[in-house]
Amino acid sequence: MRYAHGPDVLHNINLNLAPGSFHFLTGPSGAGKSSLLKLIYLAQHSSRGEMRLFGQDVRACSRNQKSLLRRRVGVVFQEFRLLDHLSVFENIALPLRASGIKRDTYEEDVVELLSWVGLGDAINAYPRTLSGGEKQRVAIARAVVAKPELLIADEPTGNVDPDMAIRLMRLFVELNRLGSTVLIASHDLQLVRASGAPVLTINDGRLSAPKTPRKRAR
Amino acid sequence: MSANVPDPTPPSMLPLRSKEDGPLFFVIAIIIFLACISALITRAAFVSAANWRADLNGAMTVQIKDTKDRTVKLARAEELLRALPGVAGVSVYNRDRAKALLEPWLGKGNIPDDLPLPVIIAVSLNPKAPASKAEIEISLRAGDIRAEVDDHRRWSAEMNNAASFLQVFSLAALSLLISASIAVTGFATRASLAARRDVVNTLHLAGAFDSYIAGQFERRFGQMGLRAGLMGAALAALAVGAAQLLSSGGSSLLLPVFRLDLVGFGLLILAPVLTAFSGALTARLTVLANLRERE
Repeated sequence: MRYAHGPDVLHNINLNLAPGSFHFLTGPSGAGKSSLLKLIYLAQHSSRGEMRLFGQDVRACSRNQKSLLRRRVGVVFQEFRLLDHLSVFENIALPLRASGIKRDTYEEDVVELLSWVGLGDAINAYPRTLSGGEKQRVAIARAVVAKPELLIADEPTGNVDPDMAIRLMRLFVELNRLGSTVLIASHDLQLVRASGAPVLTINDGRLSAPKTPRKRAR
Repeated sequence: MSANVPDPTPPSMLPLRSKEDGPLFFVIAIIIFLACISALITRAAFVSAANWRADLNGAMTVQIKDTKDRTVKLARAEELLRALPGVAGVSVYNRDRAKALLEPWLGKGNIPDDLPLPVIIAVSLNPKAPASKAEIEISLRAGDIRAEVDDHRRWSAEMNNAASFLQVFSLAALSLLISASIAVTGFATRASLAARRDVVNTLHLAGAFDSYIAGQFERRFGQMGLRAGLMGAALAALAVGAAQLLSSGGSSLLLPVFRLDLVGFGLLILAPVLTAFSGALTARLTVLANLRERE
């Protein structure tokens, strides 16, 4: 994969995420973690090779088919990507609204999810009034609200305190137990080791085979 | 409203205002104002041209050349012309009426009695089956009247040229303004899209169809086009009303005259509707093209 006419940023990636699996992705800054995630959540496309998402050949998909695939993927962006003109509630409900789902069918779920991430009182607040940690929780809630089959998170616990980090990890584990495939890019090696989940390591755009760390109590 | 209950009205996916919207609104309003004025001028040009042509093609002038028994010959010519089926009406310009026509230039009482003045008959033709110049000449000759018949062909050609020029010029100006309006909307949509790239990206990655994202911009620019168009049309109505008041509703023989009649109002109402439609369509096509460029 490359950006525009630049050099390849990912080389010979061979990755298969089994349905229902839970993986961490680690590597130094600039190694290609975010690029690999972008490829998976269809923000970029590969310059060559094959990519299948939920069994479908992405290259052969029409634009609308790709949109339908994206609806099955929840993404927690490193920079949150919340829309400042929408309230917390509307930001979280955005994937549902963009999919054409009627508000009365999701309103209760969104309110419940907001309580779960500890933002029950901020339902009508706007992102610019929230702290970094609160924004991150909103971003996570938005990623999971549609109960995605694949959840991708780029440094999801980077801006929250350790207690909230554990709470959010529990949410990811719970989603994984319910059947979602989870891939989390993180620098937090303590968190990675504590989870005991297989770890993919990327270095200079090259992905190594998954390793399962020995689980340590955190 | 409780803090734990979401705001009941779902807001627009696009921010209500961006700093590009204010100037754009006024630019569109000004273009629509100019387009409305141009449309009214175009219409006035077409109406005036049609009137000129009807006036020239629907009339002939007969000048009696006989110098002896002029009054008798004039009465005879009038009678013969009225009898022709292709003639709708006849108006005799006897010496008194001819003098009256010259008075604005020579002054009242300044026309000597021995000044030879032409004796003219203005002939209005039947618009459905007009008499030809030859028919009139034959009829007058049969009555032993020496006369010259002028069918205004020379004037007609010049008037037709002038009318065609006016029509083409006003249509070209109108087309240019409409094109400018579409180009400005397209340019503004691109600027707006660039300013709202975060919204587009977020919606795109959340799985929104291209048509859904384009629909957001389509609605926004359609509404803005309608509001700006209404403002432009209202300003044009005020300008035309003021022009009518200043000219006291008078008309000119040659110059096209603005009229805010039913058709004029129709044009002014149509302008904002077309602006809204064109704004919405341009925004939609621009956003769809932009989204397609991403892959």
